[in-house]
Amino acid sequence: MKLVSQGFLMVLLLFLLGSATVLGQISVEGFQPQKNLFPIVGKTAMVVSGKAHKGERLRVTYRPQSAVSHVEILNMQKGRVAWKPAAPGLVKLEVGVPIPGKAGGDSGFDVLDSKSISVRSDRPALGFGIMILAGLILFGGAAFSIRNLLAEG
Amino acid sequence: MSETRAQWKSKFGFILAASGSAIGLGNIVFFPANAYKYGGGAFYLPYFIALFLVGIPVMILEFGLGAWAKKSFPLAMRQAGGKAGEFAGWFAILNAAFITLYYVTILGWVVGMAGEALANPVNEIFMGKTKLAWGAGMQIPNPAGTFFAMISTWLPMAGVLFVWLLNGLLVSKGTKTIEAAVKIFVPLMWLTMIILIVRGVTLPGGMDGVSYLFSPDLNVLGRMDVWKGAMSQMFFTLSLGFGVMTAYASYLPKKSDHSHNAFTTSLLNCGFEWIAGVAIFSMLFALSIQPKASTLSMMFFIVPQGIAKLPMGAQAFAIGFFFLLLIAGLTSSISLVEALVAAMQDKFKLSRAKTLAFFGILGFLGSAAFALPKVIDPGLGSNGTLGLTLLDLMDHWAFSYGLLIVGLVECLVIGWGIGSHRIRDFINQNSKFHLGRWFDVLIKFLIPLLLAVILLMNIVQGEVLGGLYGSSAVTNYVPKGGILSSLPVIILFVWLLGTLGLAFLLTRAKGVDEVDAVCSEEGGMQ
Repeated sequence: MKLVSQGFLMVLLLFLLGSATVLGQISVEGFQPQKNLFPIVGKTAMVVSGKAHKGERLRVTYRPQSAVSHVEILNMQKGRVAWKPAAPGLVKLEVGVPIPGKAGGDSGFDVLDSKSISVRSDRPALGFGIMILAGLILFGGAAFSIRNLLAEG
Repeated sequence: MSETRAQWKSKFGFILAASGSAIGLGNIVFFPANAYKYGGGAFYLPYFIALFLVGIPVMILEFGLGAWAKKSFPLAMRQAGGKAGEFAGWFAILNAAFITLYYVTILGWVVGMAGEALANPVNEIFMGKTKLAWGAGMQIPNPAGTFFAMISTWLPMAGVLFVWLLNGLLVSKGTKTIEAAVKIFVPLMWLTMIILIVRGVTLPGGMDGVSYLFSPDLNVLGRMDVWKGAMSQMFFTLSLGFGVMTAYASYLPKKSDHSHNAFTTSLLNCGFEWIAGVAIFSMLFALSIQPKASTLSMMFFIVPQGIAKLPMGAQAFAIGFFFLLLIAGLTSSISLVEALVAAMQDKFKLSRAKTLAFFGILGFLGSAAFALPKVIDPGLGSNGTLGLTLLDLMDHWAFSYGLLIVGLVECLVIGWGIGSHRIRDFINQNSKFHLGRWFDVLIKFLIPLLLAVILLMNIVQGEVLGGLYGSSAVTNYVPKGGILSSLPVIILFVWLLGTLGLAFLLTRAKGVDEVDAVCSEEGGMQ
C-alpha cells in the first residue's frame, strides 16, 4: 500500500503549463497513434513546428520525469528537423529558443510549444521477455505456494 | 478472563484478507509510476531482491509473531520484547491510525470522483477546463480542474462518512465480516483489473507500452536512489509495519504454514502490481501520456486523462476505475481499522461494538480534517486546500518515516529480544518450507541495517539538506507569522505526540490481563 502526494505540485504545474503549450502545433512524421503508427528507435522522423522562429531548437526529453531521463537538443531549420529517436518510450518534444546567459552560454530554454509522443522500440522482444520472466516468478511462485497450502489439508 | 479468539473460517479466507490488505491504492497506480521512474525492466532486479531479502522475510516474521503470541501487534511485541516492545507496537498501531485517517479521506475523494463520473460525461470532467469558484475564477485543465473544484466543497465529507460507515460495517463482526467482504471484493478487484488490461493492450500501440515498461535501462543499477526506491516500495506495498499482518495472523490456528502464507500473500500482491503495470502502461503509451511517481496524481489526474481519451467505453471505464480504487482501498482500510480495534480489545478487553463506535467517530473527525475544503492556496502554487496540505504533510512523516521505523524496531526487538530463532523454530514446526539460519541473519543484521541506511538517507536528503518538509512550499503561499505558516512544524509535533506520546500512555496503562495477574498475586500472598 503506497500513497504519497509527492510531486503533486509538479504535476499540477505541468497541467497549468500544459494548458498553454500542449495545443499541438508540433507534428511528427509517422506519429498517428489512432492508426497504430509511432516513430521507431533508430529510424529518422521529421519534426515540424507549427510556426518557424529564429534560432529555434528542438529539445527531446526521453523518459521525462524519471530518474533516467536524458535530453537531446537539435537545431531546427525553417521549423523542421530530422530526428532519429535514440530510445523507446514516452518522449517529450519541446520547440523553443535558448535564453542567452551572461557567460556566453545558454541559461535556459524558452519553450514555445511542446508535445508528448510515444516511440516504438526496435527490439520489443527484450521487454516482453522480462515481462514474462517477472510474471512467471510472481504467479508461478504464488501458484506453487497456494498448492502447498491447500495440500496441507 | 479467558475467551476463545476468533479464527478465520478457511485458509483461503485468510489469504484473501491478507492479500486484500496488502493490495491497495498504491499497487494500482504507484508501482507502475515507480517502475517507470526507476528504469523500467531494470527496476525489477532491485525490486525482486527487495522482495526476497526484505519483503517476504518481514512478512514471515509478522505472521509468525501473530500466530505465536495469538495477540495483536502491541501485546505480541510485549511478549517478544517486554515493555519496550509493547511501546514499539503501540507506536506502529498509532502511526497506522494516522495513515488510516487520510487514507479514508482519499477514498472519500474517490467516491466524489466516481460520483462525478456517474453524473457527467467524462469528456466534460476529464477533458476541457473547469472554472474554479476561487482564485479569481481561474480556469484549469481537467481532470485537475474537476478534482480541485470537488475537494474545495463540503461534498467529499459525505464520501468520508460513507467510507467510515462501510469500514465500521465490514469490521463489525471481526474475521466473520472481513472474510465475507474480501471474498467478494478481492476477486472483483482482480476481475476489474483484468478488464482494464484487456482494454489497454488492445489499444493501438498498447503492447508497445507493455514492452516499454519492462525494457531495461541498466544504467540505473549503479544508482543508490533506485535501490532505496525498491526497498521502500517493497516495505510499503506489502503493508508491513502497520501491525495488520500480525493481527490477521493471530486469528490463524497455530498449526499453519506461515512461510507459505507469507510467500502467497507477497507474491499475489506483487503479481497484482505486475498486472496493474501492464494495464496502466499499455494505456499511457498508446495515448502518449506521461506517468508521475505520485499516487494522488496518477489516481486523479493521469489515469482519468487517459481514460477520457479511450476510443470506446470511456464512461464505463472511468466508473470501473474508481470502483476498483474504492474496493482496493476498502480491503486495506478495514485491515488498518481491525489492527487498531484488535489491539484495544486485546489489552483492555473492551466490547468490539463500543471500541468500533468510539474509533469510528474519532476516525471520521480525523478524516474530516484532511478533507477540509478551505482554500488556503488560491493560486494553486501547491496543494490548494487546507485538507490536502495537512494530508501531504502527515503522509510525509507517517508513511515515509513511520513504517520504516516500525520495521527497523520490530526486527531489532524480535531479533535481539526474544531471538528470531524462536520465531523461526515455531514457524518451522508446521511449515513445509524450512527457514534456515539465514533468516536470523536477515532479521538481526541485514534488514535493520538496510532500513537504517534508508532512514538516514531520507533524513539527510529530505530534512537536513532540503529543510523541514513542506516549509518552503507552505511559506510560498501562506503569509509568514500566521498559524498556517507553522503547519509543517505543527504536523510534525502532532504526529510525534500522537504516536510516541499516546504509545507511552497506552504502554503504561494496565491491561486487563495485568490487573488480573496483580489481583491473583495479591490473593496468593494473602
